[in-house]
Amino acid sequence: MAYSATAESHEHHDHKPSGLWRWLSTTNHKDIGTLYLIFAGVMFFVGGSMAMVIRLELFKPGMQFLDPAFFNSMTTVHALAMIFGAVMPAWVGLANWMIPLQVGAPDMALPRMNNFSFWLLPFAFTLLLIGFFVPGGAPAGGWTLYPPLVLQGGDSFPLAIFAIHLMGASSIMGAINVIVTIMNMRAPGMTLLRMPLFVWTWLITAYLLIAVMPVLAGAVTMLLTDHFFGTSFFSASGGGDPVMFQHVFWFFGHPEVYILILPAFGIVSEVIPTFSRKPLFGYEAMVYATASIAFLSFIVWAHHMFTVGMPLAGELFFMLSTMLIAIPTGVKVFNWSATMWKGSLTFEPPMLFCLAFLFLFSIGGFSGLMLAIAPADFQYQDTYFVVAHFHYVLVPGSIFTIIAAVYYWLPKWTGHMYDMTLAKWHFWLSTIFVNVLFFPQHFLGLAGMPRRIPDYATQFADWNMVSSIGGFGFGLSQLLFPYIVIKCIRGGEKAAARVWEGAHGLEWEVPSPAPYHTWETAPSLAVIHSGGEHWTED
Amino acid sequence: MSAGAPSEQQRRVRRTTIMLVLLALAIYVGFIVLTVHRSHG
Ligand code: HEM
Ligand SMILES: [Cu+2]
Repeated sequence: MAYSATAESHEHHDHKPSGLWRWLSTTNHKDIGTLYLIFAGVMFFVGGSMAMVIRLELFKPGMQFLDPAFFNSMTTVHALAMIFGAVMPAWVGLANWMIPLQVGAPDMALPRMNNFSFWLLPFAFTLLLIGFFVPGGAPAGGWTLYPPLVLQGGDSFPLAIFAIHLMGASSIMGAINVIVTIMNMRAPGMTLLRMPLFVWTWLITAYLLIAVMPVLAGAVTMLLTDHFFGTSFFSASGGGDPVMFQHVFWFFGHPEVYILILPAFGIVSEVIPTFSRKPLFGYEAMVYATASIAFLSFIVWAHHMFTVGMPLAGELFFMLSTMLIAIPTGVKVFNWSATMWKGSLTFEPPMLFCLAFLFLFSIGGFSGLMLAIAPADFQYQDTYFVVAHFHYVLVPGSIFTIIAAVYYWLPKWTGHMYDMTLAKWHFWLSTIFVNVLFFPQHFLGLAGMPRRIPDYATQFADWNMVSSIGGFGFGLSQLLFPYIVIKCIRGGEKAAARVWEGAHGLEWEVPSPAPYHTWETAPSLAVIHSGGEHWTED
Repeated sequence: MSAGAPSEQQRRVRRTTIMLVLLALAIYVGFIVLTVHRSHG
């Protein structure tokens, strides 16, 4: 194949070293995107196997298999692996693959930093997982790292802090790369308000990352000095304030949950128009809604701390600001529904996962609203109701949309179609089991079952057993995913450049599989809008 | 990348990168100072 204009690009094609060195030294955005996605997939199964251990212990009341400290390590490391190892790297991987293709840039703006920010991650997670083999065991104080409990950890404590610093540095570098690319590398004519929504939501996410990852780094640095260097930032006996840690942590933590979900909103805004064969309803409103959610995410953090004893004015402020988030979120759900209205819908796997997102994420939003009611949260706080809430927003929210994105762009990456029938099985099994797994946790929480415990009173037995069955079913169904992806990499029906007939955007103008180098000459949006061919295949 | 004088685009890339790195560092230091001030102040 050849570019429309340049001969120069020919020389670059297939100029890549082979073997391991290619992957260690690569500065190509597609290679690095692939590395991030593989890493995220591995961590998804590492974190997932810990979830299976948790559900196994909770299958019946009484202590069956684990000692309590190890159970606590399971919940702690499960969360850290899923948040920092699976979901965030998956989004960065998708950003790497798709943002340059979607804005018409030849690569990310800072390719060497891109390589570095990826390769920090395997080191970070090696440090974290080494914790299982040191005296005192892996971190067990919860992913929220609250002092004074976290300061009582064994030798894994400094390892975990260092791991968090490395992943933080990696995410900040990834975010800088995204912003610099979007602000400086767009093709002529790709104005900000013409950018695909995945690019928009990632731009806003990247600003959130730069704003809050340093706050987490600061907080864990202070934990480290409290533990080893005699400071007492957070230790009451030395004049410090443990509740201050919670404020700093959640000032990071709440925007962090939006870091996990905003790119998901971008994916849904790409997939639903494609399979409705209609343009997105209310494009600009979507951009502004995303920006307002990002802004609000900075002023709601203390809804995680209603029970620490804030002044009444504080309780009210954080309750009402939290409820405000429902407004821009409602705008989004409305616009997605309006996009489908009278569209000619088809239900390929990416669309199925996005539809499940629409319904199930909304359930998570509603339980969030319940938790935002300060007086009610005194009852719900630290129960399984909270666990149900955040798993509804994170699993059918972030995980389902990551799966949707992979099923949407996989033919573009590999040049092959994947097994649609199996992918639909993957969808139905995931959707059924995710509800069996997490819906009963609402009941358990409302009935008073606390979170983060390895044993429970017998009145909680029935729903825990149902939840565990759902958990095993969900875990097993996910094995289909790597099978489908690997099968697709190895071969399959040849994919067209525009894989889905309703798809629009620059990524569909390049052949499938996308060549190693794309858009070395910036595409002309005028040509594309007039329906002209941009790439010609030999 | 070609050698020689940086292009206008490279200059802009460099400028945005430096601004963002400084922003991240300022937030890191700023939050530590703020926390120390609030918890011991
Ligand atoms: C629709 C708007 C949302 C509202 C009103 C909301 C509200 C809340 C509230 C009040 C809590 C604290 C509950 C407690 O500890 O007692 C909470 C916890 C949580 N939320 Fe949300 N939430 C929303 C959306 C989200 C989203 C989109 C995500 C992530 C994708 C998310 C992830 C979490 C997590 C992880 C926790 C638990 C943190 C922990 O204690 O470990 N929430 N939410
Ligand atoms: Cu929150």
